[in-house]
Amino acid sequence: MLPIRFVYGRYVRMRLLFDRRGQMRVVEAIMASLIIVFAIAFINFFAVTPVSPRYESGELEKIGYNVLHDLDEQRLLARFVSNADWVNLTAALAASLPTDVYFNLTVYDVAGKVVNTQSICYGASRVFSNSTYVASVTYVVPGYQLVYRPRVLVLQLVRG
Amino acid sequence: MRLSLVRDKRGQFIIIAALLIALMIISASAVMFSAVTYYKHERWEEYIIVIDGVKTGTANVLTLSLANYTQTWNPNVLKTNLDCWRQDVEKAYAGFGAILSYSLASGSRSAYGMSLNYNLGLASQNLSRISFLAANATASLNITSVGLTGYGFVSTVFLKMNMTDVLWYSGQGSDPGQIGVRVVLYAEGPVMLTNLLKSNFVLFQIGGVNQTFSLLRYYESMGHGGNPALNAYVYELRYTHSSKNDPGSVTATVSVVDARGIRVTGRATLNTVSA
Repeated sequence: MLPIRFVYGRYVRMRLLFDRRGQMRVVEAIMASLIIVFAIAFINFFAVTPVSPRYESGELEKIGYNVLHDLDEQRLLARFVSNADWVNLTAALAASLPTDVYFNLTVYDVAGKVVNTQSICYGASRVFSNSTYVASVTYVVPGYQLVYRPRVLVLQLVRG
Repeated sequence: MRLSLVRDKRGQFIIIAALLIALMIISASAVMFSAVTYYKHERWEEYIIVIDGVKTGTANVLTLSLANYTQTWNPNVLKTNLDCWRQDVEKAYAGFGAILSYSLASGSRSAYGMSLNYNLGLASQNLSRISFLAANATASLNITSVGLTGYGFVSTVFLKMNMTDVLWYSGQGSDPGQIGVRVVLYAEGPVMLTNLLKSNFVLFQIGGVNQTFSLLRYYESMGHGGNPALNAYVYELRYTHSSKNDPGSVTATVSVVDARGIRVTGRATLNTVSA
C-alpha cells in the first residue's frame, strides 16, 4: 500500500506531462503576438520619413530663403548687392548657412543679364556636379536707399 | 495532438481580436502617414517662399519710395516704383505665373492715433511739432500655376517724430546755460526707434541757426515738468546757449534720416522747462 502523498504527487506529474488542454491557448497567444509584431514592423517600414529629392530640396530651399530674408531684414543684402560688394556677400552667406551646405549665388538684372563680376560661391564645382539634389531659390531685391534698381538673386544650394 | 488543434473551436476570439487590432493600427497609420507626407506632394513650400518674397519686396519698394519722396518730394514716385515692381515680379517669378496688382491709399485714414491724409499712397506732415511720413499700399497676388488668386496684403511704412519738450540747464557761475531739445521717434507698428546715432540727426537749428550739439539717449519713464508722462526712448539734442539766462522759449528745427533713408523734419516753438 503506497502512501497517499506518493500517489498524489505521481498523479500531478503525470497530469502535467500528458494533459493536452490549454495548449491551444498558448498557440493562439503566439499567433496573436506574431500578428501584432508583424503589423508594427509593417508600419515602421513605411513610417520612416523618406529622403526624397523633393523633401531634401524643399529643406534646402527653406534654409536658403530664410538666410536671404534675414540678410534683407538686416538691410545687408540690398546694400551688398547695390554696392557690388560680392566678397562681403559671400562671407555673409557662408556665415549664415550651415557648414555642410554649399552655395552658388548669381545676381541678375531684370533683363536676365548677370550682374556679379565675380563668383559668389562656397564649395568646389564638383560638389554641385556630384550632388543629387540641388535646390534653387529666387529672391528679388527691389533696390537700396532711394533708388529702385531691382536685382534677381538665384541661390543654388547643395548639401555636402 | 494535430487532430485536437484542428478541431478545437475555442479561443478563436483572441486571433480575431488581434487581427482587428492590427487592422486598426495599419489603417490609422496609413491615414497619419498620408497626412504627414501630404505636403511633399504639394509645392506649398515654394508658394510660401514666393508669397513671402513678394510681400517683403513690396514693403521694400514702399520703404525706398518713401525715402525717395522725402528727398525729392515727387508725389508719383511710389506709383512709378510699384508699376515697375509689378512688372518685375511677373518676370522674376515667371515660372509660377505670379501676377501682382495693387492699389494706393487715398484720402484720410486714421492710424497710429492720428489722421493721415494720403495722396497716391503717400502722406506727410513736416515742420510741425509732430511730423510724420507714411506710405500705404494694398496688394493682391495671384499665382496662376497653382490657382492661387487674390492673396491680399497691406504694406505700410511710417516714421514719426514728436518734439516733446525743451529743457533748460542753468550754467555754473558765469558759465552759459545749456538747452536740450527732446524728441521721440516712431516707426510703423508703432515701434520706437532706438538705434539712431548722432549722424542720423542731419539738421539741428535753434532760431534758424545751425547748432553744434551732443546727443543723449535715455529711457524716460516719468513725466517731466508740465509734460504728460513719457514712456519712451528720448533723444536729447543738447547745445550750449549763448548766455546764462533762460530764453523762455526756443524755435527748434530737427531733421532725422533713419536707417531706411527716410527723412522727417520737425519744427516747433516750445517753452523751456528747468531740468
